[in-house]
Amino acid sequence: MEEYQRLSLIDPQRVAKLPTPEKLFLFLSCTGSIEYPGTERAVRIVGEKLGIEFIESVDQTCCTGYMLTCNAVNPQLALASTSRNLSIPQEMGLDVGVFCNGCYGYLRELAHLLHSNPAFKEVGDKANEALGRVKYHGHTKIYHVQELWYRQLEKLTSLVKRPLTGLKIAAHYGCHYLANKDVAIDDAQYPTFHEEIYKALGATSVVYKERRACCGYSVGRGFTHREETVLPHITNKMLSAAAAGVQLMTTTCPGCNTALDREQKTITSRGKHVSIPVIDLSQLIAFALGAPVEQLGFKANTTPVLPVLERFVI
Amino acid sequence: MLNEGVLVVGGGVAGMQAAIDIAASGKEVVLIDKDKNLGGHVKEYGALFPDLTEGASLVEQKVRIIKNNPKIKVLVGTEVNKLQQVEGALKASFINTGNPQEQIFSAAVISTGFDNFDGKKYGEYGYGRFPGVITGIDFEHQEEAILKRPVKTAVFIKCVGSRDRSKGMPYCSKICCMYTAKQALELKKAQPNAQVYVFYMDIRSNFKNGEEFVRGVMENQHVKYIRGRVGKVIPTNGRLLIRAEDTLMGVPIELEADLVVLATAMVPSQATQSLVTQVGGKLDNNGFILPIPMAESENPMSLTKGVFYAGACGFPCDVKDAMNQGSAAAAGVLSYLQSNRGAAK
Repeated sequence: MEEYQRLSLIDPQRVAKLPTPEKLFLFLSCTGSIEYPGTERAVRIVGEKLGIEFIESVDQTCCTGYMLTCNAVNPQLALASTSRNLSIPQEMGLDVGVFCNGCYGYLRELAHLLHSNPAFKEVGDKANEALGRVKYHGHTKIYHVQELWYRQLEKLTSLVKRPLTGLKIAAHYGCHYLANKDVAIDDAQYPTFHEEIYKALGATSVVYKERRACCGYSVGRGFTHREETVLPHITNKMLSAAAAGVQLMTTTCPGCNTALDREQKTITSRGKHVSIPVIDLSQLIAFALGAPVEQLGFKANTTPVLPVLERFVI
Repeated sequence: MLNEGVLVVGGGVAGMQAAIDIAASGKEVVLIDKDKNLGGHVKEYGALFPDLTEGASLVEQKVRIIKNNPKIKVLVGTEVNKLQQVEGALKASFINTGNPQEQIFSAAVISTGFDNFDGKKYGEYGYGRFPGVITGIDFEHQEEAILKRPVKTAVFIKCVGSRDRSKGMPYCSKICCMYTAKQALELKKAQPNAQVYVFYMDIRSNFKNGEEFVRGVMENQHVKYIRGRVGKVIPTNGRLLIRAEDTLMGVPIELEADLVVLATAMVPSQATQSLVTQVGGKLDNNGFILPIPMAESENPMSLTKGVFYAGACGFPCDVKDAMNQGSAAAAGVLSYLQSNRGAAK
């Protein structure tokens, strides 16, 4: 039995509590839509196959987590933006689906602050009032699409058109989803649900040594540009994946995807050759469900994806 | 009708000590334990701090005294499912070898002990997944085998569960600093060439000779104490890669080990809650017994009228302390019975 399957720490109660909605508000991610537009498309494709219609809004802005993390703004701005952003799906009577761990983490956290502290709520209420919007009441539920896919794993399995037999895939989970310990469906330190999804798609999962290492995005490319700190770290991670025979890596966060995919060029330029395509989990699922390759936006990747996936396209 | 029998629920060291002391004054005691044998957790422990008495021999000694005293009736494999205050007495319902029974007692001692924290809750350490990762309790249970198996490097990780609010346990389990030092010492004695590391947050050796004991383990046995948390345990090349931070040096460190021992927390036992609430007592935020304010109780182990408690059901404590509390609860029971009889006459 594979290592990850022994003693899964997935919380079946939390999984069972997840909805199987017909309609969901799709919260767009800045990094996701700019860096890898194929991700957003893939989310829609998988949603369509599972019977989930995604509604978006041009009024939605950035989740502000970005600026909050690097102290570029004071927290009031983040609170006001979140209150405003979440009042949009509230008005539509929809819950929120996100495809970025960052959006997920920040929306969850800021929404919690908004409905647990009256002073914070007032900041949001004032902003909405000034903009002529309705007040945000804090009842909108926020889900990451990866958990909604896992919730319907059986249905996904039955929809596979391109079984990924023999493809060695490794997971990178990302901190900002799993760190939400009270709501994440799996253990923060030893998650295994992505591996279950790979199995459902017919692929082989690989556990590599640095599987649990951070992507380094925030420290490197994201905000502080400390290349000297982060590059050895990512090099280490990617080389350990290569050593374990990983052919493809998936993420559930465009930030992670950016760091792990784009930096491979830098790593190679410093003399350590590595070439492991990194794509979003939703892209992988959409691919296995038979989505046309040209719709999945693999051209946006720095490390070429098609050499690994092309043999599955009939 | 005044029945002078005393019920002791839980036959660990605290409960056994209470039963022995109460029965020594001639009172009838019924000592009940859900396990097949008396002795609670301690019967499975190796050497106990501070004088390295074997857990099993301590339990044997207590069991011998209990067996030799006809005033103590022992019911093992028995669970008390109801304990209620009824007209100045206590009515207990329990199931003994399939037979439901009821009995009236004039006083009771609750000594339902503790459970061990589930090490699996720390996914990062891989307990239950990676061979070679064990808990301190496993170390005690399999001591002989563990000390025999050759080890190049062993790592002890303290505060696994304790003092971690994210796991819902803000409190210190108190005994882990001492038993970790003791286990490190035993390992060093069995295998002098082994490299032994202890990762700690603080060293809380607040027992008689505790500080000297830990210092001795560091200075004479050359066990290396590193202040910092272990972030991850990663199985690599058949060994366990430890990734941690040395917070005194301010550097991340890595080392490879063959054995990782997690000093897991003591958590409240499930039996405590229902018994305590049935007799009108309260639990604290962590699930241990909430003591009566010191100035309001006649005995330090008082809980409610005629009910006393002892041992780790109140709060994590070491073996010596559990026995002290057992004796204190026995004193409480005896003076309660004395004054109660005075009032009845």
